[in-house]
Amino acid sequence: QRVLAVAAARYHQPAMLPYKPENGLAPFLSPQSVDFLYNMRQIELINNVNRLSEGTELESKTLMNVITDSALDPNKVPLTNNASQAWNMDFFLQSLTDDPRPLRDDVRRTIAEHFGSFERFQETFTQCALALFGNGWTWLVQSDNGQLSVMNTFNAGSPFTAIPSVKNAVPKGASYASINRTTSRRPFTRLTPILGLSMWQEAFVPDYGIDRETYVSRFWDVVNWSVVNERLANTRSGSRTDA
Amino acid sequence: MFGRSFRVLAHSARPLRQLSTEAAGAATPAASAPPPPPPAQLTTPMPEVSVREFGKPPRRTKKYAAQDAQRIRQHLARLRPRLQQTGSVQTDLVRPSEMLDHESSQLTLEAMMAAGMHLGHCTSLWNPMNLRYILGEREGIHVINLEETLAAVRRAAHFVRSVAYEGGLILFVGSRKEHRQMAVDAALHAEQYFITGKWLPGTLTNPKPLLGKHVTYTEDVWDVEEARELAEQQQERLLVQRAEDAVQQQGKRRFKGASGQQRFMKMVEEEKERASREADSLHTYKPDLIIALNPLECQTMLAECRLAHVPTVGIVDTNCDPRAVSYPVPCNDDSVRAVSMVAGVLARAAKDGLELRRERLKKAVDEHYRNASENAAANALDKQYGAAGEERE
Repeated sequence: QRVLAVAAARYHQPAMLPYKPENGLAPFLSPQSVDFLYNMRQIELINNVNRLSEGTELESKTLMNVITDSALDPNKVPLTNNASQAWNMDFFLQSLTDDPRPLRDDVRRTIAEHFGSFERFQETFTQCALALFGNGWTWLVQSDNGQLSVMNTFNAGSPFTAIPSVKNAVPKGASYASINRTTSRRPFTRLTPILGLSMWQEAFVPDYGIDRETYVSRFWDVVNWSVVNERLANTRSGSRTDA
Repeated sequence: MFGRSFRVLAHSARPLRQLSTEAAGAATPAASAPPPPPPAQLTTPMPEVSVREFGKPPRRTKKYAAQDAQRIRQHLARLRPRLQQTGSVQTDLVRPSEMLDHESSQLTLEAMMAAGMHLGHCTSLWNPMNLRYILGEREGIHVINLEETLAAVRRAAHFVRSVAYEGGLILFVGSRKEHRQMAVDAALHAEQYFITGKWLPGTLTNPKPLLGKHVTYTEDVWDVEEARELAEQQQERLLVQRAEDAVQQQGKRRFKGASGQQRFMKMVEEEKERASREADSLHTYKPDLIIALNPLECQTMLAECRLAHVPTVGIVDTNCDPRAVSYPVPCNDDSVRAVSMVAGVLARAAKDGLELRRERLKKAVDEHYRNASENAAANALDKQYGAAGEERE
């Protein structure tokens, strides 16, 4: 057993999915697609992360920490890309379910408060996804003040490292205490992803070919809304239900 | 979802058409015909914002702003650790080259060279007292003679084994960050003790102010459990002996007017009280051996060991003074694998010594009980037949 806080070497493995990848995610992805994404692509990404972080100081860190720590180092670009893509893929696959339930009222209400209506959010998300040229990911993210927004990241971009922090955000007449605040020292604006969709060609080409609209429209049928609900903060003022 | 918004548009459009045709007053066949379908497009038009979907959203007043902010902050703070666990599942990785369980016989010159034990420091930084351990110079650094290293490791391992065999207290000291886990692993493997932080100056030469006030939760553990009873009996006998001596020396003066028996009982009580006070008080122990993984940075500790007569084993590099420790092991102190090999050999030696000690003690205790039972049997027989024997004689 390890007595001290000296970090032992740790080894990444793909996380378990709440459904069987061999059965696929009807009607969104066929069994072959999910098998390719999880059993071949995810394993390749995780192996690359293990290989590239072995022996460095990042070998015992979680995937999210690997992304944020190696994003600033231009020598570690392959590690950042592989780790980011592995995290994005796992987040995407964990947000789906093979047993789709109808949309929950509390999710609909929370999203409607930010986007006007749930349909408007869906439309915005779809348009953003279709506007992505090349490979990338479309995200629904929540910022630190509770604001929801739809965002695109390109190739293997991560929502954690997408937006650099605004260094001149400190207002005039700031006190001594505010100078040492950690927000100014954080390199990236903190965003919490709530829902993610892979717009990589490897995800939709085997099943849909060139038809991305059907791919995105069928995505809404397999989203696991209870997982999304857990991730959403209830921002309604005066609400009795605690987030 | 898009069908619903279509219905809304169509629903609101119908009354307007009827009004216009009524106003015109002409019932044209075109008016009664259904509206033409919208042209096929790749993208659908933006649906209407319907405020009536869930009633008016609540107004965000200042009163709720702080509550909202706090609730969001708390939620995100709870969510972030779960997002940290997304992505992959992590398990501990065990690297055999870093495991500490080497026998000194497994240490070969090739393995030592692969670990980089022969690489000394820059020639200009050497300590001339190391001359006998240095093979030569190459690429500006001194090369350590691995045969000397091997002999020194064997010598140190033999010494560590004998200290453990005699029941000594061994302290592994590794203050560098890379050596900390190694010192802990070695100590736990050998069931001995470790220091990984700063060595408090004066721990050996001035223990009372440094260690006297610490509250510790320690438990005295016997090397061999079977010896506990015998040891306790021996302690009781010692206690009685001390009481007798005390009575002889001071009894008459202290307890005037009391009989001899009463004086003795009073002294025994006093001794018992003193023993219990000692047992409850804090015990500080001086180590019987200190193994320093980086003696260059622990010169204070080594000076104290010299004053307090504590032998030391240390990994000395070409820039260290080998006289600082009792048993120097010339080796590269910058290579993690080299230090782990040496620490592993010493830990294994300490463990072997402890196991030999346990065997010896177990054998002694078993023999004692066997003799005691034989003697008891013999005494019983004597008692039975002794009187008859004496009578016979």
